[in-house]
Amino acid sequence: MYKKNLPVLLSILNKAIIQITPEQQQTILDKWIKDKFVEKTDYTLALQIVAISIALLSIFAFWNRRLSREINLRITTEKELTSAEEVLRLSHQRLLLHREHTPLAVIDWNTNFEIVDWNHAAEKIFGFTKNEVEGRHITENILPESARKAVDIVWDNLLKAKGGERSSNENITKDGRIIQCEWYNTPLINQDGKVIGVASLVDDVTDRKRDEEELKRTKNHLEELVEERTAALAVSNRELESYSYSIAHDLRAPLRSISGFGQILQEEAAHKLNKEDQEHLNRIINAAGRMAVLIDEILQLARLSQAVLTRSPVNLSAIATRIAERLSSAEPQCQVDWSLQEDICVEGDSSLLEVVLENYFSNAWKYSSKKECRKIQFGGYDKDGSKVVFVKDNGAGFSMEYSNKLFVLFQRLHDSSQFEGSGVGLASVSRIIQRPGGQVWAEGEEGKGACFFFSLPLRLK
Amino acid sequence: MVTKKIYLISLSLLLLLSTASIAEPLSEKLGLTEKESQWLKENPTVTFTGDPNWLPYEAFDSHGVYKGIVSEHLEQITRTTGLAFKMSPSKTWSESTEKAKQGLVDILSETDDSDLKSHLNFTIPYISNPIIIAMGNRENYVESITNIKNRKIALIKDYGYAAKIRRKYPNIKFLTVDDIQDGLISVSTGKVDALLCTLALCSYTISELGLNNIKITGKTEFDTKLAFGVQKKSSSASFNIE
Repeated sequence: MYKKNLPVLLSILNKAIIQITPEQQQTILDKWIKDKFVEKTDYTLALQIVAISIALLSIFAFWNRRLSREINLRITTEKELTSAEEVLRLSHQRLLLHREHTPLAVIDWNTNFEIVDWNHAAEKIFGFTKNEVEGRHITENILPESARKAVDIVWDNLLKAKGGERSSNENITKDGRIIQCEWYNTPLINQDGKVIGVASLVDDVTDRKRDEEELKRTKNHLEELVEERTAALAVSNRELESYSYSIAHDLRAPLRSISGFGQILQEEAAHKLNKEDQEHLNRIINAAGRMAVLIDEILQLARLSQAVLTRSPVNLSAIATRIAERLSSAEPQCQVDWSLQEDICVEGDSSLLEVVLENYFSNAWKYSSKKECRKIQFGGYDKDGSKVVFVKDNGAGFSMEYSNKLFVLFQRLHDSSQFEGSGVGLASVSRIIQRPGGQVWAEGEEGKGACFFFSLPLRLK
Repeated sequence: MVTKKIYLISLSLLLLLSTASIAEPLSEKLGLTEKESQWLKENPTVTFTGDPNWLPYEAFDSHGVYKGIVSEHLEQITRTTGLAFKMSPSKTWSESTEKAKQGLVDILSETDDSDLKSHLNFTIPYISNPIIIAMGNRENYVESITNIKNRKIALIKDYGYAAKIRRKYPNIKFLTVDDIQDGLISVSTGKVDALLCTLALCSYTISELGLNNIKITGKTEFDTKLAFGVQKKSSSASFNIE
């Protein structure tokens, strides 16, 4: 059994501790403490100074560059400014010249409607010098009481920049004349969009207006005159037509006497006359007969002109077939090659259209009478809103040189000895077709046949 | 690691040598009594423990190897006396003091202001260290603890000087941190305004943790002196071994 005597240990330790020299202790401490600290130089300040210097230098460099750039810019700008000023000066000069030489009055106003500027033309038009009107309100010089209300509205709109750019009103001159002026106004607007004044161009249109009105009056007068004359002409035309109708009508009675008594004379006293006298008598009777036919046709023509037009759908093919049958049966020994197109319909007056076709077919029949075999064609087609109808034959034809005479009253291209006729038929056709707005024409060649056309609007007026 | 091993090997060699041959002649130089020399012969080894986390003074590393300023002082003592120290590594300082209280170790590395005086006899202090004030590096010089009495001041748990400071300043409400690292990090992050600790420990740990926003702003009137606490009674452990 043994026990550690620890108080002995305490004194041993104390003695050992005393033996540890301060140098030894320092070595230990150095090892455990000092080594842990590495000397560090504080570069922060130096770095800060360097950074600030660099920053300053950069700022200087940047500033310098900017400055030189700005100087260059300024030089360029100054040059541009100089040339711009020159342009502006010239423009201003031009404007001044225009302003002084224009025949238009140029007036500048402030927002109180007082005159600020007034050019030479304004002096001329209104009679006031610039000095007399400068700073004066419009009502003190060129605005008559009559135009005041209208001009106030225009002025209000100008100040609100809401229009009023063009106006036309009466003005008064220095010597009290009322003149008519056209105004072209422009609101002067500053950068903030505020109206700071108005510039006006004024044209004195008094003379022009007067001339225009005179011209208008003259024109109206002329129109009235034309209407009057046309009406008078229509009246005299109607009178003439009724006159010719009555003449024709009245001529029939003496004519009947001539031909009647001529025929009595021929029947009862022929044996008392020699051959030459009988020949004279025959001529009188024949002439009276031709005249009777003429008078009949003239009367018919007059009736056609006066007749009231009816309007209904008309089947022209049916009419054509009827006429062809009648013509064929009248001369059954003749060879005819008919070619009749079916279902040609128009709108119009049925009886008058029958007269037209009767004329065309009779002519075709008549002028192809010398052919061994007649060829007569009837047809139609639509063109430009009209129905075109034609009757074509292989007869004597005509020279196109005279085509303009075909439809004129009493005009004939052929001698009566060759082909009978009065020169009234085609004139009648022309009247009938032209009344509802249609047209007539013909094409032909001498000896090779003719083709007569008429056209009617598909929709009648 | 290699250097550490070489170091340890040479250390153990040195210890062997000293016990074998150098101890004898040194005993005279130390002025040991007969009784003391005899005791050394009979007790070549004593058990020892200290603070496991108190560098630069002392610590047990992960392998249980004892190192630090105290350890090197022990080497000096071994060199002069031939006494070998058998280490009893602890996890915490509290564990170490507990061992001392229960008489499980012969010697405890302690400070002279220890409250274990009833259990241990203390040697003369062999090293002294001022207690300083560590604060954020924006703070100015602090003359004394009273100047910052309204700030949050931290003390490290279980340290001897802590009791001394609390006694002297009963009106200041000190906060407690677990260890030096906890204390310095609390200052660094602003959780506390100041930490009171020893200069060596403070500067060593600041450097170890790489804290760059902490500085030593002042010195207190306190210091802490290192001494060895020796069991008053005979070692029961040794007794039991016998």
